[in-house]
Amino acid sequence: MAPPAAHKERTLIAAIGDEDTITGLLLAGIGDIDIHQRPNFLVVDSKTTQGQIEETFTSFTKRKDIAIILINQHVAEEIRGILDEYNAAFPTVLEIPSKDHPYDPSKDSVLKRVQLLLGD
Amino acid sequence: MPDTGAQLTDTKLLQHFATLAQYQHTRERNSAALKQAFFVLAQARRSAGYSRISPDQYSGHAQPIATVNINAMEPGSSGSTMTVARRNEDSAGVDPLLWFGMLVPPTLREAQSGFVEALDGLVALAQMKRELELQAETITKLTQENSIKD
Repeated sequence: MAPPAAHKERTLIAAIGDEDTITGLLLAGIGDIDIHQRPNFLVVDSKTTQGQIEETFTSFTKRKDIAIILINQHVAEEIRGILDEYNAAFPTVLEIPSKDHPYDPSKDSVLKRVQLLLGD
Repeated sequence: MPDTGAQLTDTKLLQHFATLAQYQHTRERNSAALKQAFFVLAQARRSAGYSRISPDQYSGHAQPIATVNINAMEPGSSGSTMTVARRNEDSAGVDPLLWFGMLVPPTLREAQSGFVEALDGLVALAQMKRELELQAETITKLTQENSIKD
């Protein structure tokens, strides 16, 4: 078990999502822009490339100050490859619905992992 | 003599099912809360003008009001718990509501409340996901140990 102080610096909630999702989460108070002008969020629109999403996701996973990464389920689908490979405890990645893409349990990787476990 | 390996696995499996049920139930409630918050946000954007509530208004400086505390659980158990921490208005920085102007439609304030509540649910879901992962690791390990004994 990790010592109690191990995760004390992990306090931020990062987010990758469409405009409404990010606006909503920023209103809820998650927004952080550090002294290097690095935001803990990315707005994904029609001009955002898969490479940009992957790069931002990877950079978030490497930061030591992020506890959770929230990502729209439909955006997660675009980087499913690197998401499936990701298995670190922290930051914890959670896929979330968007305004135009409601939560789809059939695409929930949490449920898929449980099925995999019970299928053995 | 009871097979304690199999019994322990069964106990862990039951615990796993219970956490899974809790996860699914929280997901349903949270998805409904988010749907409502998105709806109210759309109303606010229509009311104020779409261009007035958009990423163009996001501040270039931000300090989080909502963060996470990761605490080690009691000695003897594994894992940790994540909970939302919210700075109170006195010590908090600028309320992000103000990024969108001094006079915002009441629906934007209502949307903010909706997203604040939904965020609590999302952090709870992240915590449950973590618990499910740890439980799965334990079950896999126990299953492997049991099959070695057979």
